[in-house]
Amino acid sequence: MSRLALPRILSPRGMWDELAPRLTNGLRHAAGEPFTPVAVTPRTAVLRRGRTTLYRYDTGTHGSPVLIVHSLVTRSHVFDLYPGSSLVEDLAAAGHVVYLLDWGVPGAAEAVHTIEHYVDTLIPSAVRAVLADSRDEAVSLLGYCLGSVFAALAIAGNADLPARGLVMLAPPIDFRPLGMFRSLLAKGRLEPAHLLDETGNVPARALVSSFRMSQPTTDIAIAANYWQHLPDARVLGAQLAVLGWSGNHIPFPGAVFQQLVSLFLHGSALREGVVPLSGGDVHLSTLPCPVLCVTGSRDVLVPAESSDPLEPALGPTVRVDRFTADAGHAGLFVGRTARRHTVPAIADWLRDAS
Amino acid sequence: VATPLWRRAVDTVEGALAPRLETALRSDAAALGLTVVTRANKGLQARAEGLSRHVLHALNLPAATDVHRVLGHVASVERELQSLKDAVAEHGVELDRAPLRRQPKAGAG
Repeated sequence: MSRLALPRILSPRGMWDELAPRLTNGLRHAAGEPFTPVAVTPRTAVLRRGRTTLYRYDTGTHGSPVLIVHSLVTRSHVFDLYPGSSLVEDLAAAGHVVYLLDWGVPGAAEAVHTIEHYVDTLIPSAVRAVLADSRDEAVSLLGYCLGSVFAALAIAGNADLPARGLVMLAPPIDFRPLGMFRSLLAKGRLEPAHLLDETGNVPARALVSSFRMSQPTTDIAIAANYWQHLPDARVLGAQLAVLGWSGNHIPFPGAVFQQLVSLFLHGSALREGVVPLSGGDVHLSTLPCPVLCVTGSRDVLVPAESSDPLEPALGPTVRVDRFTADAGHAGLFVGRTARRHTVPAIADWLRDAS
Repeated sequence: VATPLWRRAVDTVEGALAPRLETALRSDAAALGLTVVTRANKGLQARAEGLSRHVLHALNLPAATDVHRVLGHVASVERELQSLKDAVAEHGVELDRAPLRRQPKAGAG
């Protein structure tokens, strides 16, 4: 007599084979066991100013220096996420000595720091420290998100900073297409001060909520990805490394936030290319180096349309090259598309600029 | 590896849901609702703080507002200290360790 053949997955053995690796990896994750080593490239602190640190990655390379200027919203280890998915690794493989300007986690002491503090004090100090450390005559800068805008303002506003080139990853130039904060603040319903906490900063949870509202179904995709890749420790590790970064935001300095709202959201200083700072107007058209603007066609945090006014803001005197990647905000330098297309394009551009 | 059936179902639901939710959350009504919630939250927080401050001060205990004030003073001292450190380091770039050793160029020296 022939027996009815059940699909293997419905048999007790098949179910166990399916569940066992999920159970094992799920328990390992719940126990806090790391699946992928994060930020492992050795580095040395070159300069410290308050919570801000300039690091040099000790990769044994001796080419022209590249200074990564991070955004103020997230933690900087995303540039050296894990071996095989690290912008630092890729830039070092192209021969550069890589430096990272890490703002640290702002506390009450940083709440009063203005854009001028970043643009006229911290970035120039970092550039000079890179020049002294690398014993080179000029440096290329690579700014991410708001960091790219600050890097541009620093170079344009401080004529003594020798820059070979500036790579701007997802630069927010037009703040009108940006997220929920715009809806709340644009019509004067809330004042920027309403969003500050007792330290004087915008709390990380407010930033996370704002990003979640831009991508309201993200949690569904995250949960589905987690369950799908749970049996494969390697893929799960890569996924958890990205999630560990994207879910771990830091507070945003309150004074900078208030300036961003008045100058760039209510005002149009960046779009017009003239930013009034305390030391005088900074004209972006005075940038002394070429610019590569990299945007992601699937970026919902800083959509490409927000970066579009960069070229008119810089004017005809600055050479602007544009690269559009099939990627989201972090996918500009993290993941397979970045490794195959975007990062090599950036490395080629930096080589030409050097 | 083929995408499992359950995952395709989840992606279909998510794909259908996402644009609708995004549109709804970007609407003026959603912004208005969020504004009301934020303002109400701030108001409630202020009232709760006022009440707890009244009770705690009656018991000669510090309230959250006192802690915040101290935090502000500490931050101010921290900034003063940093500006002093910057003034000390003003004569040169402060390097915490030996500079990077460049390899001599071929044919040099």
